[in-house]
Amino acid sequence: MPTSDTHQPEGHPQGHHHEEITIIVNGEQKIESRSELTFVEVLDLAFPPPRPAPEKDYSITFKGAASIPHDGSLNLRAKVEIRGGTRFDVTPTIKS
Amino acid sequence: MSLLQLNLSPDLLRLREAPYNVSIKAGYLVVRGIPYVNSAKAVCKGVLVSALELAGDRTAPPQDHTIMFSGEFPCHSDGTAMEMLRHQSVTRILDKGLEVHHAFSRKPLKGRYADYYEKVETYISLISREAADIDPSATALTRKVVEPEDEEYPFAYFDTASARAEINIVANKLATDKIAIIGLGGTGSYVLDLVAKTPVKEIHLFDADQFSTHNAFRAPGAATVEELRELPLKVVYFKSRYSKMNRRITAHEADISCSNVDLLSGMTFVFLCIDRGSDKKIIVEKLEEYAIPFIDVGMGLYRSGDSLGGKLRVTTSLPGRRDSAREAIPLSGDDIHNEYDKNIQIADLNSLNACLAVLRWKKLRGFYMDSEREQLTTYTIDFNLLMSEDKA
Repeated sequence: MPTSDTHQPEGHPQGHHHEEITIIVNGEQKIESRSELTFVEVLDLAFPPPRPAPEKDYSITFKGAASIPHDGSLNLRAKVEIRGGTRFDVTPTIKS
Repeated sequence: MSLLQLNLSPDLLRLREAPYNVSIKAGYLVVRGIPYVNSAKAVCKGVLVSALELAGDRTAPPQDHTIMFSGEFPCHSDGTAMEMLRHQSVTRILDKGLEVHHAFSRKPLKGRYADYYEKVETYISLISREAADIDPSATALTRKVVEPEDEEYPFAYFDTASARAEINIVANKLATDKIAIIGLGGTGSYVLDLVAKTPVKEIHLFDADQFSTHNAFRAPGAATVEELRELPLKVVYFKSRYSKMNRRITAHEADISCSNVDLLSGMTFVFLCIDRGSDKKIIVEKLEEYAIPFIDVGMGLYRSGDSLGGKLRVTTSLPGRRDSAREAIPLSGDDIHNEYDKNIQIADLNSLNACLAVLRWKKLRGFYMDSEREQLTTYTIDFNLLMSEDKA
């Protein structure tokens, strides 16, 4: 199982990994050097701005995060700690 | 229209012409006024209740040889219990006003009763001959004939599924709801498919669109090419489909807008199954004003290589708990459609989205257990993740 060192030195402002890891966003591999991502940062990976809808109209779920819970839903004002293989699903949910 | 046409069921007709006090209640065959002897050697009257095996509007041969009884446990004329009948003694409420206390088991030598006349007659004669030993005038025969007609009944034929499972009392928790389904697209049509099989008081369908060929591939059931050629309105098509089973469906040939949103004021629950956020906004505001609980559904699918991914969302908005729903329901205008509108929808996902929504409504009504009380449910296809959020 792919893992990465998620321990960060205290007070590290950027939250950068020492090494790059691969995560999956909407089925596509992304090389990532940050150790944690906010809602908007994940959204940017899937739908780079300009976006036609406000941020809150997108829904983000994840699986295999470094932080606990490992699987869940990323709220608008939240962030998640990632590791190699973390998967994200980013979609507006408007169709019926 | 009679739900169960007695003249099409010779066994029920024969019971009635005997005449026994026969009625059909909530899908059960009920025979009242059965004389029996209690343990104090007194002659009392009890009620025999049998689940019914139906072939639509007529009886099928009984699959189950047991029968239920409302009353004390029947005794021989000397006051000793009729042990050969004993099966279970548990008080169960089958429906409002229909409580049973015992179940009897007398299996015929040939294994099954030929019909309901033979089954009921067998139990009556066993039980009542003991009563007749004490009081020769005691008989289950009656002059009173009870009509099985029940105009209040929501279905075109009896819900024997709930009767067989003995969950009428659970199902009746849904009976007072007046439901609106706004939008009869993929998900809305599956919501109707499920709600039509519940005993709700009213079902109101709102949609101004036509039922086109592509709709047939994300709707329950199978449309004929003749039906598709006529381009019926969705609400007309679905009402005609589901009225075969449910008699409480009203078709409104309109979308909900500010000019007619007051039509929702009498509803007790609303399923919001439309795409356009601009239309949704006025509906959400009014439902909040009317203090009506509602569920908003939505899905977002994308293509990744040669496979599809995405997620389903079910958002629940309740009086006093509106905030998180307001945040989760997308209310953006039509731009987002123009950008991404490949409009990928797949019947199994429409169906699952509808199932999750209908489950949530049934949980709110106490039909299902509900310890999470979540207001937001998502299902993510790629990693098969079912999430509850905003738990109370």
